[in-house]
Amino acid sequence: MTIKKKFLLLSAILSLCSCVDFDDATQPISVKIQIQMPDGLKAADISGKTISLSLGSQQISAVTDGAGIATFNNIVPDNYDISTSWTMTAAVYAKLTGTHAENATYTVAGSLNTQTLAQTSETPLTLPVTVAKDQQLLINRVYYEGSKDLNNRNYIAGKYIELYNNSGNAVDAAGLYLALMETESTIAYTPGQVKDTVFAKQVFRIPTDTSVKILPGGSLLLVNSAIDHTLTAQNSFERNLLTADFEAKDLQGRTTNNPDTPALELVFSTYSTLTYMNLVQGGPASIVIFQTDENVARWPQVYAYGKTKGNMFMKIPTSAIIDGVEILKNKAQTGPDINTKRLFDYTDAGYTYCSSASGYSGETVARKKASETSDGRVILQDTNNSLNDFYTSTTLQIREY
Amino acid sequence: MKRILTLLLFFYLSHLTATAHNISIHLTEKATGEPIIMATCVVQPLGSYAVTDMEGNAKIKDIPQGRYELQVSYVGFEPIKMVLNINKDLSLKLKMVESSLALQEVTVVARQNAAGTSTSSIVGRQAIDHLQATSLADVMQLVPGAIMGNADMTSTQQLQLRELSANNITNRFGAGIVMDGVPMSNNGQVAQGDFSSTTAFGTDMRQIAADDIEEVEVIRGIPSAEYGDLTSGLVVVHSKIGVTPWQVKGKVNPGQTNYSLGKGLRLGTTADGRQARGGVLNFNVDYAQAWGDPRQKTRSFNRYNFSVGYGADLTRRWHTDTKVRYSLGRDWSGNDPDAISDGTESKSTQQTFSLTHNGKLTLDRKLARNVSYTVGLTLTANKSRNTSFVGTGTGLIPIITATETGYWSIPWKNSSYLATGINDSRPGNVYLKVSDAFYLKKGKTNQRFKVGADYKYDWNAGKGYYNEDEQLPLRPNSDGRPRAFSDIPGLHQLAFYAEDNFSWQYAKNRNLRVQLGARFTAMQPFDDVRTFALSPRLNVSLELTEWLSLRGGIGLNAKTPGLSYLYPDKHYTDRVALNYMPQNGNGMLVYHTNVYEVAYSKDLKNATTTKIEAGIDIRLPGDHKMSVLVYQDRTPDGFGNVTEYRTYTTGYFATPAGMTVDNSGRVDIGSAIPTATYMNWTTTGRVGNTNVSVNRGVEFDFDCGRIEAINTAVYLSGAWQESKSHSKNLVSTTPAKLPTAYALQVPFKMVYPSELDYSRYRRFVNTLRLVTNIPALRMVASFTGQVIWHNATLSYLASKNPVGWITSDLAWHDLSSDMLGGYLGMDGNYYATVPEGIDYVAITDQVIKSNDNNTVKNPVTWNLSFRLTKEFGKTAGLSFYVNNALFYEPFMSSSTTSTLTQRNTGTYSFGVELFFKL
Repeated sequence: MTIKKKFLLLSAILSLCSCVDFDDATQPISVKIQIQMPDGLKAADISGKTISLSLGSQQISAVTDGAGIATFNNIVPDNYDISTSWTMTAAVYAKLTGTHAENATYTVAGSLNTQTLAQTSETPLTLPVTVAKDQQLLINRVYYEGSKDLNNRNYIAGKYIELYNNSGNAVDAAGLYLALMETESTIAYTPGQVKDTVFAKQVFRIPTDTSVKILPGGSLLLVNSAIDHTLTAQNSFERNLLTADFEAKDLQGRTTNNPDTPALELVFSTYSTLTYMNLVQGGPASIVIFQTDENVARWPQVYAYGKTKGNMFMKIPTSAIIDGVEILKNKAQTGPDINTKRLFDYTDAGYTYCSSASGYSGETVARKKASETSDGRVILQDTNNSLNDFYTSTTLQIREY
Repeated sequence: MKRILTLLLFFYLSHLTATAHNISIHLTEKATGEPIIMATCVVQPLGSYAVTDMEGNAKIKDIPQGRYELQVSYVGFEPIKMVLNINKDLSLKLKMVESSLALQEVTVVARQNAAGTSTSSIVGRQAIDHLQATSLADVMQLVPGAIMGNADMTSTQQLQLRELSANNITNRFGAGIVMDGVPMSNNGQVAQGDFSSTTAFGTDMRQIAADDIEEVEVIRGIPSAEYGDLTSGLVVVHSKIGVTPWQVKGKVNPGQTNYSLGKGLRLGTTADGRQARGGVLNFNVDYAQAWGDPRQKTRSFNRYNFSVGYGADLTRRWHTDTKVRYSLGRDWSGNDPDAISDGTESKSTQQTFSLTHNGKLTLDRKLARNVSYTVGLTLTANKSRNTSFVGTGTGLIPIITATETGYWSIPWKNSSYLATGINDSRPGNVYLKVSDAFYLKKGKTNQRFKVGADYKYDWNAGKGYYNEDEQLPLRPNSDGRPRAFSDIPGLHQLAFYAEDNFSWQYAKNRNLRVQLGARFTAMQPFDDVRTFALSPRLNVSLELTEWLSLRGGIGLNAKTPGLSYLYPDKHYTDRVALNYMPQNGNGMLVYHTNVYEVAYSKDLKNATTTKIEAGIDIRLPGDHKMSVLVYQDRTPDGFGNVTEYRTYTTGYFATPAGMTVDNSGRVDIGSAIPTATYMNWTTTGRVGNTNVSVNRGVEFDFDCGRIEAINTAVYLSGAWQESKSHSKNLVSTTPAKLPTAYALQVPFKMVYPSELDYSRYRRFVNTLRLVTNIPALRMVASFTGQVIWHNATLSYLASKNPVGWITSDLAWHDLSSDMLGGYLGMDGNYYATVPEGIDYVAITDQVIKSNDNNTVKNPVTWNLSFRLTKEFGKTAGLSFYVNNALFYEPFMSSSTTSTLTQRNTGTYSFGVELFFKL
């Protein structure tokens, strides 16, 4: 090889190398996130609050400064779920709003789901938060998935919902309403299409003929069939529901009802002959509990948005809601679609779901245990964000936390 | 009728003066000089015919002086067509040539029929071979407007003509198949359970092996009056009868294999080669096996066909063809053999034995030139067995088996169980037909008359539907009760027909042709269910100039309802009365069963289709032919549901206290007091003529002739078609916003005007075929390109106000437009203002508003297929095909959604066929 040729080769290699721009490679970024309090509470102290970024099972946290800004350095660009929550005492709340608050704590929470953080920015990203009064009664368990029986056939008779008294005072649940949100394949109304209203396919009421006292740390078990399902389904997922407090009675003769279990009153059902709780395996299965003095049976019913036929749903004003949990359908490849949320963020800023895309997995969604009082009473986590508050389990027994 | 006959006779006798001549034909095979026996020789338009005898001789007598076309045809040979001027006795020596790809004439597409008769497509043996058809279903894709593709042998293939909706049961039930002169009757088919608007009782085309077929005629237009018991049209199948070499065929493609062996031999030859008596014996053995998807062996179909045909001249004037057929089809679906078997499977066998006997007598009498008769016997045994798990669903499976009205204490299951249901259907059919054909001629007019009668008897001797273990029924609820089909009476049907084929040569080479006929059918003439139909039919064609002719027609077809629609199953309604399951184990489940038996579908009439057609045929220079046809088929009385309400109340009890149960399980309510009383609305289960369907469209066929330079013929065909249907049934619903407490005690039903909603399908398809035939290479190749330009569906739901309500005493109440602002109380009464003290629904909430009647338009798709047939000398051949040759399966969205759907799926396939002639 002549020198000339060597030179040419060298210059060719050099010119190729010069095309590589190492700046194109992924670089860690820094982002700032600022908490934004709702109107009327802008004066609240938002320093020292923890903001979390979660990506799958990973979680990164940072603490806010005096301006409510948390700085995250050296993070990998990706789509993160951003959330924060803390508890506000009644005194602080009363001072800020000028309203009188008694024996209650408030949860401040906010989240931004699947937020793309791609580049370093000096301008902080705004994380709006909402403030909600902590409830005494919570939805702490929803078993909507069903399972498979010995012959590997679907078994859906053992579904149940558990409510929990998270407060230190006894609660009377008589007259409490339970609403199952509509589960149309195309969402009937997205939150906000009608202001402060959600749409139910079924509404049940806890009877008012006797008081239904739930002691602190006590729970209320609502089922479709109050029998021992471990005997009929013969698998490890189903539970003995003989101790259920109320049973939604089936009037079609297709469910074993226990005559010793009092009936849950059916107030409204989209499907005229479906009188038991229509918890859809695989989801969605969003639920709220609410309280009102009005005649709920006469509340307006409407068709899905833009429709003039099909199924009719009952309008539930969110002002009556005590607690709600957003349960989404999991999709095999893409995961749950947050565009199918039925509840407003101020009812549930996040969502929960089971791993199975089609159900029958025996999974239940359960509220996490936050702490325990000195007398052994369990306090369940209620940050108003089910993504944080709930987990799934196949082994939890009823009334186990 | 008698008066018409007398008139015809007079007309005829007054023209007897015309001189008549005889034609003698001696027919031999060109290559060998051997006489051809049992070839059909027909003089058109007289229809006078004869069949060659064992020496290859035929004589057609008494042909009036004039100009005719002689047509000679024989299995495996090119037909002869020649024009004869008859003014003296003629003696013709004709030679036939064996069909082969070495000939210039190769027909691998469907031919259009002759003018002046029914609009039809004729598919010959060469076309069937080139298509590599396995069953009759494959052949249908040569009809204009039909979609190309792979016929999936693992599911039932029913015939539909000019119909785009997949669910028009009347059209499928009324699409007839005539096999060697005997209609394949589907009247004896019976179902268990309620009427279903999707279960059609059409004939399964998979049974008919393609290799035994000589020719198929698909009559889409107005058929001859000799055909009846049909609505949309029919397919006339002629199987092979004649001397043929040994034929061995094998077809293989990824989804199926098919082998056949056939031979036609001459019987009764004496030692010196001379023929005294005897005939021709044909037989064909055929086996086909199909897997729907070779990757997933979850479905299969096996078919065995065996047929023997015997053609013989009993006397010089009496020719007979007899055919005996047996076919066995086996469908199976279940777990993939590689998967863990859980015992679930469904399998069915269809066995058919049939005998057809056709006799033709050449009487040469003035009013009885040719008399023919047909005798048919078909015995079918269809047995299907379905094993699957009965799921618990919501935790309790009530096992309701009561067959009488009353309260019944019934057993139940809490977990799923394996159950087997069996359906045993044995339809049988006897068919007899006598037909007389004669002609008369005066001057330049010819008239060919056909008069005849046929009789059909259909029955079903099947055990019907039952469970292997009646304690563990497969469908343990209202639609799973056993039903014996043999209890259903048989169905007699008698029909008479007369037809005149008139032709008038009004100028040189210009004819007016008229086919005018009528058919009168009486079904079950001496029974309550009797129904009659008169079906007049007319086809006209007029050659205006040498290159232009017009044609048109109008006719009625009638299809008798058949056993399934005439005698619907009992209607069972079950309501829970007690669901008492305490934990101490003394549970009791009581259901109330209501059984209603419609002895027969009262007032059920024939489904009649009125067909109207008009067309133009243009003959262009260079052998180009073009024909365009506009049609409308209207069936205003197709079979469908009838909502005929019945109401009754049942009690719902909290505990069994006060009830007594006898040994049979019947419950006496005794002193038990119901906690609720349910109002049950149910129907009678009667079937009626409630479906209205209209099919219309334009079909065109353009034969562009042959481009000699590239040995290629070009054919372009296509159709724009529309199918629209609606129901005349009562439109009624449970009131909207009914208070939840009334869900099981609906106090009234809202009624809306009928016939406003409809479904509509539209499609425009073009098919271009290029057929390259190189005789020197004994090879033919065809490229077929099909474009679906337009494919749209619309389900139209009209906005409508209620026009009345039916209260639970079945009384009708009118609801006028000024009452729309009012209320209906749960007592069933109308209130102008909100009623006090009772629940109600607002009438404004009962208005049905419709706002999304969007036509779903599918994108343009196309499909390209390629076929090649090559003969190796006279003894062997090879065919090859690729469907969807470019593997075009795109993802495209329709006009109403952004969701991408894969198109043309399942159209890709390739296969090969090898055949030997020994």
